[in-house]
Amino acid sequence: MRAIKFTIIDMLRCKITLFILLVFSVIAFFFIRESLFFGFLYLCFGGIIASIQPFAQEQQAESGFINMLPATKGDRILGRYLFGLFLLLFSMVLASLVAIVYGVIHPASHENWSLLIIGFLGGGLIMISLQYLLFYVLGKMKSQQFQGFIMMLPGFIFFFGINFLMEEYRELVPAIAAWISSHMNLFVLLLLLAGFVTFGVCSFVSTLIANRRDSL
Amino acid sequence: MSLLEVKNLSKSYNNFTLQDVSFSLPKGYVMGYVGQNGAGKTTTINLITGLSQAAHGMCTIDGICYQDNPRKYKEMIGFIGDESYLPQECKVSDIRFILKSMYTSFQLEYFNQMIQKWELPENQKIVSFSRGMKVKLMFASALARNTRLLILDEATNGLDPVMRAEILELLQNYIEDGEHSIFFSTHMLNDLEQIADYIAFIDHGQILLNKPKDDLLESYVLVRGDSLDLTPTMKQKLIGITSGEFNFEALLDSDETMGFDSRFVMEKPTIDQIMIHQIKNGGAAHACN
Amino acid sequence: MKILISNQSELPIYAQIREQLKEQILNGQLPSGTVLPSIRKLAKEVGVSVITTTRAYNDLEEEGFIASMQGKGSVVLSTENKILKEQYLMRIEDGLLTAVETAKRIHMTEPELHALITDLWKETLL
Repeated sequence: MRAIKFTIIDMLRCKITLFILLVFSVIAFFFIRESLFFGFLYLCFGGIIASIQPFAQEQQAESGFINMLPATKGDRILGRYLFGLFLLLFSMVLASLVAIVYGVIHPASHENWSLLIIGFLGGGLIMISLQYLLFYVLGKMKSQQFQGFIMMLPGFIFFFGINFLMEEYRELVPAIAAWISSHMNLFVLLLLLAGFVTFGVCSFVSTLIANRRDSL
Repeated sequence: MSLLEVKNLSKSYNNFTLQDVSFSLPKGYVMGYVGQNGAGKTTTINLITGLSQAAHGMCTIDGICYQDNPRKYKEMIGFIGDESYLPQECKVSDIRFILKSMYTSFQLEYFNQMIQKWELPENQKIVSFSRGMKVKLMFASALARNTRLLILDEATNGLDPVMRAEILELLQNYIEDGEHSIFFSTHMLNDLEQIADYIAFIDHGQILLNKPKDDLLESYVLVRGDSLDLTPTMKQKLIGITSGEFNFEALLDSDETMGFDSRFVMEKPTIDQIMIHQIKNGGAAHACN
Repeated sequence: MKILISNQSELPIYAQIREQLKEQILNGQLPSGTVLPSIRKLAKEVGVSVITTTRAYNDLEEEGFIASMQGKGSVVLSTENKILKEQYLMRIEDGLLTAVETAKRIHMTEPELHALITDLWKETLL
């Protein structure tokens, strides 16, 4: 499939971000407080921020070579979304490693972190898909500073938004919070499902938008 | 039979309109697409390569248009662009990998031969390449597969003469079998002028002139003289007069030289001179009438 | 075969190619039956456009110096060819015309010129 070839091309061009994510996974340890949750949140945030790299490159100079490759815009865009998914998976693999190492260091903790991973996968996928859709809607931006700010925005909203909710949600909407804690399995699965649906819808809409537009 | 067929292409941007651009390039020939910066060369090329979509008109390569089969269409094109064409953060090895995985007709051996011949560093990022090295890598990428049409977008600007001669030879090899064609755009004709079969002038989004180069060169003479020696009828015949303090210079239709005697100096114009005086003459606005 | 292009020449490039080939055919450097390089090969070697060389060959073909043969390419025709004879005749006339005009200018008589031609005829070994 041609889309996957574009995913690989994105990986080739963004090798550095993979290393940056490794650094993130070390920092993630400092975010683990009472629960692995905030460590995972931090890594997921890292994945979302890292996934903007190919767009940032295109904003600087759209490479004609890539556009001239024998493929459709749809191939390129799906490839880009798959790259986002790949980065998220990568950051969640790192999160799992963090959890395993943490378990070795603190044998007393018996947290069921696999559910958390799946939850973050779902949540992260929703965020990455929405942010990619936003980038395709905005297209080429004129101002460099504004562009950098816009690109980082979704990641930070995600990070601080969830931080805020985790601190305050019990007071805000106690009914929902209670439902989530009692139906954790179902909630996580729904989140993952929503992630893939968002992924599909956003990539499809992005292709429609790009086909009507001249560049990107 | 024509390899590249462009029919009534139109496209509008905020402050620029490409109007009804048509031309055709037969198999085995070279066309130079000439115009000032901002005349519409890149817009036309973006429409040909399928990067942009025309508001009206169509464009085919070997009878296929982009919408019919984007992948096949793009396989037929070899593109040589400007400095930023290749992804700057890639190395030669990355480019090789991408070419190998994307193009069915990629010839690895031939590519490697060219990389070796031109001594392009394998593990250095393209961003650190010189202009000449980038051009070489673009040629290696385009020529190492089976294409039908080579498109050069301002590709030879600012290359040294040795490199240019080398490129001319490559280009002539490319069209020698009569099945491949070359379309190049430039605002500096001297670069590839000698091998161009056809010259098309574009100005303000319209085709001003489109002729075989030899016909074009023969259809005008360049005349210089003293403005005082001009009668009104003679002055009418002149195309795009540039007057200085001591003389004037203008183009003249080769069949209209009556009356221009030894007081005037007449010589063969270059393509550049034809372009300058045609644009001076009012360019696209004039061609409409 | 030898082609030298000059960008300073007043003659267009196709005409330069045509004239140089003609010269070489007429003076025997390219004898009849010689197969000329293909139009595309010549364009490549000389570094000019294909249309330019095509035009030179077309002109030569029209003037009867060469003929394009199926599958063989362009071949130099025999100088016995009628059209070629005319070309020769024209060259001779040109030369003689210059001689006559010059002779008249210095008031040389017709028999004197005849005598000069006879002398030259004998002296020339060709």
